[in-house]
Amino acid sequence: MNPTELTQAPIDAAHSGGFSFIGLFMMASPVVQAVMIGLLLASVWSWAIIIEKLFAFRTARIEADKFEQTFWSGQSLDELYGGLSRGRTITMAALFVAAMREWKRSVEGNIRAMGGIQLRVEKVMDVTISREMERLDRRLLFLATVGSTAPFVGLFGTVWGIMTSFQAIAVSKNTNLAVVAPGIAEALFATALGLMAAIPAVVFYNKFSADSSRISQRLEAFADEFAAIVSRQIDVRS
Amino acid sequence: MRLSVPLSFLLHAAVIAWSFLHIFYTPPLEATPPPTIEVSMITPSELTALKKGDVNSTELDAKPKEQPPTEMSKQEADKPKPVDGPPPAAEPPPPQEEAKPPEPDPPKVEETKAPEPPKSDPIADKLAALPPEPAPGPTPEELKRAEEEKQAEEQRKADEAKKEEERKKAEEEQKKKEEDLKKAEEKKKADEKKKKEKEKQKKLAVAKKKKEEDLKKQKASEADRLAALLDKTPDKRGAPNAAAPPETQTDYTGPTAGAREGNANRLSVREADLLNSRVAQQLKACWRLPGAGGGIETTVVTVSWRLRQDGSLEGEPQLEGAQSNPLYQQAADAAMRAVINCSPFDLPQDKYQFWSKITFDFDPREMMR
Repeated sequence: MNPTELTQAPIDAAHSGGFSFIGLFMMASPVVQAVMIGLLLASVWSWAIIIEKLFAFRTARIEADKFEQTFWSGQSLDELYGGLSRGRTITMAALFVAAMREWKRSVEGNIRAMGGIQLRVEKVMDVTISREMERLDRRLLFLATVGSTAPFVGLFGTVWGIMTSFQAIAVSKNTNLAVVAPGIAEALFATALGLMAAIPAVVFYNKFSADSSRISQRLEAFADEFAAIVSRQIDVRS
Repeated sequence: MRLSVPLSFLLHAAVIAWSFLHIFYTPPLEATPPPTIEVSMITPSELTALKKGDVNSTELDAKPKEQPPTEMSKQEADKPKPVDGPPPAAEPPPPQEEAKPPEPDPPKVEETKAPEPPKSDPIADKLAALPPEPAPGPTPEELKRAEEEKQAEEQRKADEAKKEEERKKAEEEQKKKEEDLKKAEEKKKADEKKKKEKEKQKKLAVAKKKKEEDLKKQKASEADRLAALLDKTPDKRGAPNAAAPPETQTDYTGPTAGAREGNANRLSVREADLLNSRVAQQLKACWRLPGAGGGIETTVVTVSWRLRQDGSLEGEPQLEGAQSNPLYQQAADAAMRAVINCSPFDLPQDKYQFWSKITFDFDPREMMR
């Protein structure tokens, strides 16, 4: 690195008056700049995930509430299935549709396969639950990763920046705060960015994982209940 | 996901834009330069020159700020000052003077209040009494003496005339009358007696005169001493105490005529060192160490001598702190010889006042380096 560049950079920064995000970013060394860009992208992506998941969990919860209401309203299951099977369904409704489809396939038609119908319905519901949960939990792992690694990445940028500012001291042989301060400010900005990305990621990851497990439990409960209904119907028919 | 990614982007862009605007509308940090302190280098001699009094100043002394010198005024308030005291520093006396008149018997006040006025009164009396005493003293004496002398001279003259006449008569009548001779002899004897008496009287008069003169002198000297004593007190009161550094702060910072605090004609440390080294250099050439010198026992001889303007020795060099030690004696002799041998010293003429008297340490360890 060119020594004059090292000493000149802080002075330029001081002259442009830029202790804003952009100013700090522009005067940073390339490694720190890369770290900052990476952290910014991670922040953008994690916020995208957060927003998306907020909507996804919200809709999942609302849909489940709505379905449960209609399911326990005494409406005929065939009618309910007829109404739901045409559109795109999620979570509980999807579970119900998948189970009903399997039931219909086994009961209606020429070949009647009543022997293993209980087992098959349960299997289908298990698969649907896991698929639904996978859909809800997708990309949550990224939030977890950002939450745990972003502070370290930011710290790396800080260490690097402080290294360069110490080099600037060594080159200019001047321990004046004006020589050191910009480098340290720039370096600390990297840590700030890392924390800015990590804190929401961690917070929302915890929230979403809690939401996910709650929905999962609800689906399991519904599956068990529906299995009970199926088992009763088999016994009635046979 | 289609919606949330652009939303996230927008959010971040908004944050960055906000930071931009924030920076844009806040003025840049300005590092105010620290106030400059003027510093000028001053050598010790310059400092003393700065402090020295100024001849042209009309201000006698830097007057203290409005802070009455409490102790002084108290002391002075107790002393009722005679009116004929010096007028300066009249601040304390006026109230005293004002207080004095209303009181009915001033002598009493003086007696009770102050020990000095009664002291001063007899002195004043004496002083007043003295001049008239000597004035009439000499005149009657002299008159007396003159009269006596006149009388004596007249008598002498008369006597002489008488004598001559008598001698003539005697000469004339010597042969004629032996009785006359006897008479004349008797007369002579009487004259001599008279003379003797007169001389006695004269001597007595002279002795008297002497005595009186001595008395007069003694009295005068006493009066002088008393007058000096008297003078001292008003001086103390009037003049500001220059010896003690002024404790009170002053507004006046200019030069003052009084309280000369420093001497401008002072050698700086460097100059003194230079002068000393020149003396040492010249002495080194003439100094022959006695053979026994050296080692820890080296004796340091301090010699002081006076110099004339042309650098020649004035009087004998003198030993300072002489010892009876034989080694020291040798070293002292050597040092004295060195001074005498070197005697026309070549030193800067304009600094004569500093080398008119030189005190030098003859230290072999220093000199033989």
